[in-house]
Amino acid sequence: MSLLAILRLELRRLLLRPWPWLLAAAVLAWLGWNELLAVGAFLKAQDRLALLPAAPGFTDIVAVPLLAQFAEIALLLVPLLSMQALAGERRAGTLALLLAQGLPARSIVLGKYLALLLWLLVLLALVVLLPLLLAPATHLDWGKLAAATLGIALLLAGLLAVGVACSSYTRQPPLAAALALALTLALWAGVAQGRAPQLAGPVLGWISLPTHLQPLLRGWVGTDDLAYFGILIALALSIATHRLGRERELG
Amino acid sequence: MSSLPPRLALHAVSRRRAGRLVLEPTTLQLAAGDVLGLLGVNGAGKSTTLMLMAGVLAPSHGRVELNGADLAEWPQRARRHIGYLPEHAPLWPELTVREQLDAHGALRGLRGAALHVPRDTLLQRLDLAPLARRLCAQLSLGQRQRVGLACALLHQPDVLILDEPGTGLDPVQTENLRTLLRERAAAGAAIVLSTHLLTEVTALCTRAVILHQGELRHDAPLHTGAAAWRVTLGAKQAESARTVLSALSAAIEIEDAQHVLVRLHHDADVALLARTLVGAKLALLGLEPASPPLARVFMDIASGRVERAA
Repeated sequence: MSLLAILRLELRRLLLRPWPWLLAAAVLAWLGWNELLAVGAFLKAQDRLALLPAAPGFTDIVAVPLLAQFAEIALLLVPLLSMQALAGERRAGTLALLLAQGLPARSIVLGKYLALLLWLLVLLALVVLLPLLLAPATHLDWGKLAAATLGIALLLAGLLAVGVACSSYTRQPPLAAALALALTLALWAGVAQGRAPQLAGPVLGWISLPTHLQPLLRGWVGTDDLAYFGILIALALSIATHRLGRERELG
Repeated sequence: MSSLPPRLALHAVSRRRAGRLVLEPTTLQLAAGDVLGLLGVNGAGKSTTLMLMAGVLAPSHGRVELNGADLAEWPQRARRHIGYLPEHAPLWPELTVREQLDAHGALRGLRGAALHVPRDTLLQRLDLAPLARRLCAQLSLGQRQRVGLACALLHQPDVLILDEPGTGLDPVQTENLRTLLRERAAAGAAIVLSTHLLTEVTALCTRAVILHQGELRHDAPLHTGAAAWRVTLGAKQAESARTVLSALSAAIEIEDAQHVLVRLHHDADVALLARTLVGAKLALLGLEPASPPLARVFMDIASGRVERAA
């Protein structure tokens, strides 16, 4: 009940703020432009691709790279979006209103998280719509596209959980965003290890985000990768809940 | 004697911040209908005390009880039973005034008529109806304060905790607020309000508490609209005075054969008291306030003229 009330309140506030809309518009405009360039390159390469026995198709050359680009944008977008979640409430004094109502920390964290996640998933749906609009004119690998979309959704959910956790530790939203960005980049830095796994230890390789995102972008859905994102989300949200639960003691 | 637990009770509640004691062990009780004025200079610990009462902060030691239940064990009870207005009335700026009230109601589990009826009543009572569709970000200080009050009053709580509720209100709105709070107290709510204004306390409160440097230094009832006077009469005239003064709207207490303590109610004044005694041919040898006025007590404590309790 309290979770639903917070979710509805957060969604309402999110929809009324201008900057999430501006961010969404900028992301879609950038990705739309890049899709046009990718489609142009794909059309130019048709003759050469036709000679290859297992040539990459529209999904490999346009759709999945577009989603991969969105993943890179999300590294910056999600901390910007999540920084207000708890730090902004704390700074504005409205967190006291929520605490004075005896709302459990779990409900406050989950309500805010789910509202932001819903907004990000709507943005992801609009991004996926870009290649889907060309589906009647081309051949889409639906399985690969679905796996890549799942991968990006899990990435967004993971990054958002990290962002909310960072937001729970400060009353300064920019500091929360910087902290979330630093952590995100640390997790993303595994991209080098992902490309050269022999250079990284098994633990470092396993905790890096790209290690688990790349298989999904290639169309391989493994329980190992799903478990990784599940653990990341659960761990980050638990940290946020624990910190907020101590708000009454810490002040 | 009533068996009902106090609406709100602080049992040796203290609070540390960064290793420093910002509120020393404090014990207070509020019964239904009590209106407690919390006074103190800046940094005295008023807001910390209110946050502890509202469940926003947890005590470092001691416990806060709400209707007999430990607030730390049952924080969800605050949802229905406590209305809290923090300092500066924080609001969600993206929402309109009506949405703000709806959000507060929904968070407290109010729906349908249980939400809409008190919401519309409060919008009218606090003169917010013309602002119902205005964004909270666009409100003035006084308007924000009234919206914050409406949010605190929406669910008709048993305990109202108000931090500087009169900030930014004009005299008409201040009187309106007093009327509203008196009605809530008459309906059985216990009210705590923190303020810098002594007039606010004397006009509204039944009891005043003064905090200084995190310590409770004064806790005494106030006789709203009344004053206590010590009357000195001729030898053995105290009993006669009691008979004479029984016609007055006052509480009379004989201290000894020559001294009477008279607490005047709002429809009697000291001039009438003196006229009645002199008219009855009693020897009026002295007439002085029985207790120092709140302003003097406050100034004595704030200036350090009153030593802290051992």
